[in-house]
Amino acid sequence: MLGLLVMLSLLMAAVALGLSVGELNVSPGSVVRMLLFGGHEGSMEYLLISRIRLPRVVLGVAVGGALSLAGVILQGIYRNPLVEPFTLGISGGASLGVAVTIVMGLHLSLGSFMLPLSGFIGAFVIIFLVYTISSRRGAINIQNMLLTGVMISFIASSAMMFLMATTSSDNLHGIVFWIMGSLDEPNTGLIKLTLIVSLAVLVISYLFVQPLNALRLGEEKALHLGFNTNVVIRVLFILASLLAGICVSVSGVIGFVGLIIPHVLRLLFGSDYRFLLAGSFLLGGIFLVLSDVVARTIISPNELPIGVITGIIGGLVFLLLMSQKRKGK
Amino acid sequence: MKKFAIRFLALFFLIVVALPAHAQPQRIISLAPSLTKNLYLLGAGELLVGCTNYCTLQSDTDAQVVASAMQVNYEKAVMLKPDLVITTTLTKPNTIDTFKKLGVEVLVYETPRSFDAICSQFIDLGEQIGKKAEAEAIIADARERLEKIREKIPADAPRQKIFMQIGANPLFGVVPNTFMNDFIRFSETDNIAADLTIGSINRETVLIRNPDIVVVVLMGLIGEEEKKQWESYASLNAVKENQIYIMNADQACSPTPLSFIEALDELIGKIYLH
Repeated sequence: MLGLLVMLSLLMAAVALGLSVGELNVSPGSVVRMLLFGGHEGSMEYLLISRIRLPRVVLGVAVGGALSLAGVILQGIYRNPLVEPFTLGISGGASLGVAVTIVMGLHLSLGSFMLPLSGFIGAFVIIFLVYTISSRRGAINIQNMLLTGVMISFIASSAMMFLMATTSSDNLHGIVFWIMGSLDEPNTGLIKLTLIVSLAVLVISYLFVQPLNALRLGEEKALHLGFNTNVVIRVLFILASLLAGICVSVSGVIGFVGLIIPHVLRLLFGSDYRFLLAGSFLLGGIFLVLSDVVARTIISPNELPIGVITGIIGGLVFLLLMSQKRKGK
Repeated sequence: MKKFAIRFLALFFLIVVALPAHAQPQRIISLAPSLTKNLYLLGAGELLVGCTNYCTLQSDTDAQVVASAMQVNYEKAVMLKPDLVITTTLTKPNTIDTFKKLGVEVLVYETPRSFDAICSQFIDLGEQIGKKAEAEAIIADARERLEKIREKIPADAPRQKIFMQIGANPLFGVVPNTFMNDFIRFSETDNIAADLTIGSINRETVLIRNPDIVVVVLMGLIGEEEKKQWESYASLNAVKENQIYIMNADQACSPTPLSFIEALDELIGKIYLH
């Protein structure tokens, strides 16, 4: 509990940093004042903080939290530490959906909302395929599901290469940049939706905290402990996948968050899901907000894709923690 | 040994003189939409036998599609018996090598970094296909039009700061050392991204540098949406001055000398004569 409170305050600190650092540095004090009491409509500081930074930071918390939560849930039901939201082809499906939209120019004729929409449809189709292919007569086979997911993910990425090989270089540029991920989303409605859905899934996931803990012993033992593992796995799979699908469609493929954050928490605090679920959400939010600060300031005024930062920093921090843990033993 | 060398030199000389200095290509494959446009502009459409599926043809029977943006269908290309392939540095080196091994001459043009480069590439292309005079006439005309367009700028007009956007999500702007920067140079405005070398730019930076003019060079609805997005920032100078414009991306981004001039004319009209 104390750990969660510490992380919550760290998240607040990360948000404050994210709001005050940038091309124009604003003191955290005046940031808080502006958020609470508003500012001059015409002033540049207020414009920057309310219209540019706040949406980005909120989206960072939502997407970082959601991806880590999806990661921790999926690792729990698969009992496989290498599973992350994107292992099962969710990002492949979303990328394919977006690539189809860009190649056909649908976002030009119908509006840019087509990009997240088609991304979500792509992710949803993949989730549906993985789910139905691996269910047999009402029972679901976890190992089958994982393999199916990996295979479908390969097919999706090949299909995407097919699209990229046959399209014009302008479209190619658009697809590649979308894949690299960004928190620069002008549509505030989408940001609110992502935040609400991810918080809702966090709350719902706590209904399953006991079966998740029981599943650590294995599917059979959990069944003997009185949990209907079949239902639990299905519901959690669908929840986590849809959550990941929404994240990818709004902000592109931001890798490593869903894989690394749950591992870091397990290394630091153990594997109790009562702590892990909320902990992953908070730490994921902190990590993504800070990564975004780095992405937009490190080569300022140019901007790096956020996936670059999460991959490098996340991987390094993880390796460091692992080597320290080994030394400790 | 000396005798041999003399004979060899003589033979060499004979061959060089006997061969036509530059056999003019009769069958051309273009691997870049902009070069296809240039060929038409030079009146050499009938020489074109192959192109990419992104080239705009004046009629479907002009040429066959032999390539996508990334991949060339060599068999189809060879069956067209080309004697010249024209392309840009965006083409993979492997593709260029393959054509050379097949005995086809390949002309590779760099992405032009200025209007002058567009012009000199155009003249070079004209020279290579035996239309030098036509090319020079077109360029002379274009330069004359350029001067006339620049005269439209009022002498007492204050210098304004400009941001030219060529990509959305992530935001991408025009930076120096590109031919698009010449739109800014010729329109006597100052690029707010003048210190950048890569076009990816923070939205925040653009707002702080507070341009007086924002030009959105994007196609379709995305352009409209970006324009609305900029218009929602009330404290931006460009919003106060009501100077957020959309520019035809198709015309502005693919560099033929003529389309450059037309796009510039439109831009200067919007900035100074609105």
